[in-house]
Amino acid sequence: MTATEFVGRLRRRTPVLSNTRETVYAVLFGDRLGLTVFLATVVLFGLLWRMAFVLNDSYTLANGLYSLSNGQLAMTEAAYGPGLETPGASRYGGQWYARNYGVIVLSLPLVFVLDLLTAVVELRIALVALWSLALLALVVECGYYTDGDWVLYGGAVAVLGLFGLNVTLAQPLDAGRTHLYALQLTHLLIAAFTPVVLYRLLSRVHTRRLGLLSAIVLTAGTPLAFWATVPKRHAVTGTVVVCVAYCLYRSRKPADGAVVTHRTTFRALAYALVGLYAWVHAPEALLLCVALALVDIPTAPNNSPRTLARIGVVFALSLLPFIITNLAISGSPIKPPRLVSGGGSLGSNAASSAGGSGGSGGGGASGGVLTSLAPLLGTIKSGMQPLLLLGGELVAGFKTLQQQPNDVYHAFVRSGSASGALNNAGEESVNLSLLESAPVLVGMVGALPIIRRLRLPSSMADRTLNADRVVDAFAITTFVGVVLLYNSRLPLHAQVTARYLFPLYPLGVYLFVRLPAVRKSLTDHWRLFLWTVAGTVLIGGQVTVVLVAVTVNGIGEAFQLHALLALGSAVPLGIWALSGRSKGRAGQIGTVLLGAATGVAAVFLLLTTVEYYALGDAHLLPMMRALGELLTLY
Amino acid sequence: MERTRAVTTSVIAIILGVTLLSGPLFPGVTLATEPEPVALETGNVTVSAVELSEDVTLEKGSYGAASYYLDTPPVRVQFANRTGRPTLVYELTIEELGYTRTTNHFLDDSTGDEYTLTLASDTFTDEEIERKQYSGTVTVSKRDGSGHGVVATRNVTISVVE
Repeated sequence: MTATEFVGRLRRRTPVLSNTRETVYAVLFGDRLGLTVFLATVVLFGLLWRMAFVLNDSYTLANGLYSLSNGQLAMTEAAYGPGLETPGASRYGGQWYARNYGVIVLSLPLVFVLDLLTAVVELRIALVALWSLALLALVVECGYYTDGDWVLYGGAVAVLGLFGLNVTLAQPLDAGRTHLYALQLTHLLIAAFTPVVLYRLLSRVHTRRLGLLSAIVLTAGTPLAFWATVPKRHAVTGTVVVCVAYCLYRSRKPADGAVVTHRTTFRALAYALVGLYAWVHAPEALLLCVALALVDIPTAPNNSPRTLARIGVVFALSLLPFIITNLAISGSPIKPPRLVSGGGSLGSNAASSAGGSGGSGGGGASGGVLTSLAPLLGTIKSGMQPLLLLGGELVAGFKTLQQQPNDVYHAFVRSGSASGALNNAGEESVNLSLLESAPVLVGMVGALPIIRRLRLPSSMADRTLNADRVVDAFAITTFVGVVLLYNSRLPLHAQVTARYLFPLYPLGVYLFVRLPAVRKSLTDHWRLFLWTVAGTVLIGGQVTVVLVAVTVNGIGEAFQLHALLALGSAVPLGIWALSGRSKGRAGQIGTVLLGAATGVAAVFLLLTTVEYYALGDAHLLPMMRALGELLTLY
Repeated sequence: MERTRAVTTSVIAIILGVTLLSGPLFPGVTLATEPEPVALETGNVTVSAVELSEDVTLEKGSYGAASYYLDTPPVRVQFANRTGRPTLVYELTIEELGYTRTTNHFLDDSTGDEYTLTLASDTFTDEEIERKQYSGTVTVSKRDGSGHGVVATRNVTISVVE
């Protein structure tokens, strides 16, 4: 091949390469604004990233990843934490195993990348550089949306300044803890897709502007940023739920994407996501699977055996990593490590009973024909077991609603001095209720007047719903499912912001943004909304800092002060949402209330990461560490 | 367009260049430095006056927080002389609760002739607090080059404020 031929061949390949780039871009972010949302979220999460353990069950994941990076599935050595017997670790066949193997495997490449970086450069400087580059990319994207180049020039100077400041203040990072950093980075990246996919979903259902505003409400107005860098399932669940909703929506619309040409593919993809999520947290995946099937199958335009079989095959394939991991650890395909020792999340008694009968199979079947069918019946029975368990948990959650309304009130509305919500160690009131963590969710009460007017489809012929109605149904079903699943166990210690209920944050934001009054007010007065959020954070934030410094003696009081501020912003918002008015002055008032509730949550988020849960000032960015050291509020 | 591209590229180049500088490829350059370890309990301190308040309270948490917060007033001390990096220790003991708390204060050359010692706040649960008041002991001690010693001690009454 001559040089000219080679160049010619390269030239012909260039469009293909650029097409691939465009496709990857479109698949991940949808459009340019989606990428901007992603970058902004990553920059925010990086700002709040503390490279330490918040909850001690993250030790389990870090040790699991440590062992796996050394080629061992079982945990061999407690590289992190006090030992191998940390919460969430399970013992099987004399060896300790971690859980959430899905994210552990996903983090594996990052361990190697970080180890490689450590060999070449100082890890702290490398991560600071990565953050600065993300910020620069954000500046470039923002520059694209504004006339004139001043945003880009000013932004570039600011990026360089911040990078310089961080390098000046930098202290070396412990290069032996790359497993923790890799896990955190994986969760951070997964979490950054929650607002991106919510934006994509709502920009398809409504407008891009509404999609963008919802992404802001989700990122600033809920505890997403707090959990983004915590190696636990919560951030992952949030993203999976939103992705499933998105796939469900696309499965009801004509396919117009570059890669997927058939809308059934999206339907299968929704199930595949749930199947893959089982690899992280099986009980919640089961709930999602039930909710998805309950909404999808009755409302689908096409349920031919062929379609269903295709979806079934994809779902089964997506379960393979989960099944293989289970087989390797417990020997049973449906028994994930977290249920092995009976300390799983689906109620300890219930889980151990699953463990007991899962493998035995068909003990009760007797008689001639039945004996020959026993293995089959056994399989069905052990397959039904998780469903029965889930059903039991949901019923228990429903009973709690009737029998312990006080507990429900403490878990969802006001935490205060509820004994169940106290922190185990310090007896501090640091476990907020759902509403105290994300006051914007009160906007959902705006659905009440609408439900009254809602009519059910008049006949079975109407069962195929619109794409947006299908997503609504899925969001509502999952919302109720998650509430019932954890209702009997809340309020609980070590929740911080009702973390078990984490999927309710993205689902709740989706649901209340869908309300016509909220949607219209937000879109009409978006500038007012953004100014209110900014004002609440910048001015309200300072007032809060002073209030905390003057009146608060400890973290429990600080959290309860934020809780009361949140509820204070939630009450008027709730009243406005109930009124359901969005015209004229009412719309403006509603927007201001929404902005205030979002801002109040953002202030809590910022102070929590900088001050209350600074974790020994272990911030990734030296400038945040310095801020945390400067700020001493009690 | 060309200019903006040039600006972006050069910022990226600077960031990557500085990052490379930090690594073992350039052993002469150290960008991230550990804070220097300081030798503590050195030098000498003589306290000339101690102002101890007796007003210690256990206050019910505000904003609905479920605990009692220990609020110990600060102690003001005056130095006759102070050199090096001595440590002052503020200690509160409540024997009836089986409780002791200390806060160490590390002094250095930036400390003036006067200093205010504080005791970090702490929490008690509702169950732990059964009486209206408790008696306790407040101690201020010093640790310097010449050893450890008690500067002042006083019996205090801790009153429970609902």
